Amino acid sequence: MIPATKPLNVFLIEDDEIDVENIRRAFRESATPPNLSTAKDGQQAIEMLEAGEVPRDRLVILLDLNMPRMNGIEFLGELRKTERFARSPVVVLTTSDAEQDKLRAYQHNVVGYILKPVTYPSFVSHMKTIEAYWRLQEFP
Amino acid sequence: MSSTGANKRLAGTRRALAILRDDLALTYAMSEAANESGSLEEVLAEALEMICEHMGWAVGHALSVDRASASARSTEIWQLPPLASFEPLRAATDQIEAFPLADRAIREQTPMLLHDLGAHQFGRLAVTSALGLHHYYVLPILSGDIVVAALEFLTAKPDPRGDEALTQLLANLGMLLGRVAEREARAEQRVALRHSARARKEAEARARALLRVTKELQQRNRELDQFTYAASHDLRAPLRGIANLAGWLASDLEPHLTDDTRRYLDLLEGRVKRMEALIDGLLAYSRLGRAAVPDERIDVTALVRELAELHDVDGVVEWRISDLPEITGPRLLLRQVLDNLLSNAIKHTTAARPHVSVWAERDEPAEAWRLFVRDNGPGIDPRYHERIWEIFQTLRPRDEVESTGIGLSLVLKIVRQRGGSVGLDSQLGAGATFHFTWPDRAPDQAPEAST
Repeated sequence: MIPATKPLNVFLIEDDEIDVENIRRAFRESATPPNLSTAKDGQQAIEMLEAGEVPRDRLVILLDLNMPRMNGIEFLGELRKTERFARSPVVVLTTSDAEQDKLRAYQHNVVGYILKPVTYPSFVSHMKTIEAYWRLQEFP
Repeated sequence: MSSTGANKRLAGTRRALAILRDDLALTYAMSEAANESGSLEEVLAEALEMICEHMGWAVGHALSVDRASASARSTEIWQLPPLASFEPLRAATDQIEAFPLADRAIREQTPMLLHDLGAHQFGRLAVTSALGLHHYYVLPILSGDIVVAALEFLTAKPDPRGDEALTQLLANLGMLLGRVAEREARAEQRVALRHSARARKEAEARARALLRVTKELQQRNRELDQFTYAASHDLRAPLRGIANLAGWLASDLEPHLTDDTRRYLDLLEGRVKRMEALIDGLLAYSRLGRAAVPDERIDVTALVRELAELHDVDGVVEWRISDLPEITGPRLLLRQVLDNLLSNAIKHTTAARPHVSVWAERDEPAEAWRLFVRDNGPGIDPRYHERIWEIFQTLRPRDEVESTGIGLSLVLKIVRQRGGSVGLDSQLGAGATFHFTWPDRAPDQAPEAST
């Protein structure tokens, strides 16, 4: 028996409105649309997480790297310091193909690294992987 | 001891002293002559004249030395009485093949004296006897331990000094004259050294300047390419946003679109695609200068056929592809050149049945192939022949023919980088023939590198 799928909680941290819209539209077409929260940069994201505005359960964080105030890598550093979100799955969404960025992201235990422009199939496959991860966590 | 005997001896001593004084004067004059900055030939001619005059000898003649055989050869340098009767001597001298006594003087590096020529087998005896010349002296001219020349003399009377004194005097004169040769050799060496040092310095300075300019140019080109790369890369992001938004508007507004608004959205999409093509073109253009691509052997016939199929999926075009050679070069770059030329040939055509011919000619002196692409399209007015190679130049409205104006500038850049040149033969209404040369080797490749 496949357990009934509850929607994922997606926290998108991205400063480009169009990129946010792109993800929003992709989710809209999904069978079980996730609950989407958004932040415009790392600073705002940390504040929202600390204020408890983002659920911890079934959470996946989609993270842009190049952002004002606090960039993606800095955010990862802060995130892994917290107790509640230290193990939350993070997928990086970026235009940066630089080896250095990838390396630093993986040093902070990201589960995926997607190059923009985000293509629908690659995005869906990442989301499915993460959904399966959460399902395993919930299995009795 | 009688007084007459003493007087005789005294007179002899006086004579000897007078000769010695004269000889010293000669030696001095000779050394003066030798120190003047004449050539060896000039000094030898002067020496012949001075010696003959001082010694009262009739004939003097300079001999050169053949280094390989260490034997004497006749020269044109003579000291002869200006009388027709002496001319046969000159002629006879020119005819004889060897100067045995001079050769010996050269070998032994010492003057040779021969008296009473009639008693010996002297080569020019018939002539010398007729002229009454019975004594022959030859002195080698020594430069260091090398005999560089010799002087021969003929005289009617034996020299009063006696053989020993004469030999000594001649040996001295030979050494004095030798200094001229030494000085000449040193001067030549100095001049040669000075010249080569100056030439080397100048060449080095030129090479350094050239290298500096080249480096500067390369640096500027790199900067320009990097700028173009960065600029076009950064232009992509907002463009992608515009493309997304246009797409969303089109799908979300679909039920509400009118003919006009649908056309606006189509136009918007078209402009975005053109911009993308421009950016792609710019990226390709800037990438050309960023990486060195290795040469390979390219089957141009196969390449052109492949491109022809790509550009003419429906098979409307009549292709005439003559047997094309194998060419050396970076495949991707030659492909880009031909791709652009073939695409141009078809894109602008107005003919119901477009023809495209591709052929090649060998330019052997330039060690290059010249490739031609001819179409039967509308042709290009000669006044635009220069402008079409510039970036972003198009001759027709972009809405009629989708064109970025980068293609031909890309062709030009690639061909120039290869060290080749481009050309166009066309008249309005008479089709166009684009051609370019493709050297077997890139300009910075050493000749061996190609094998």
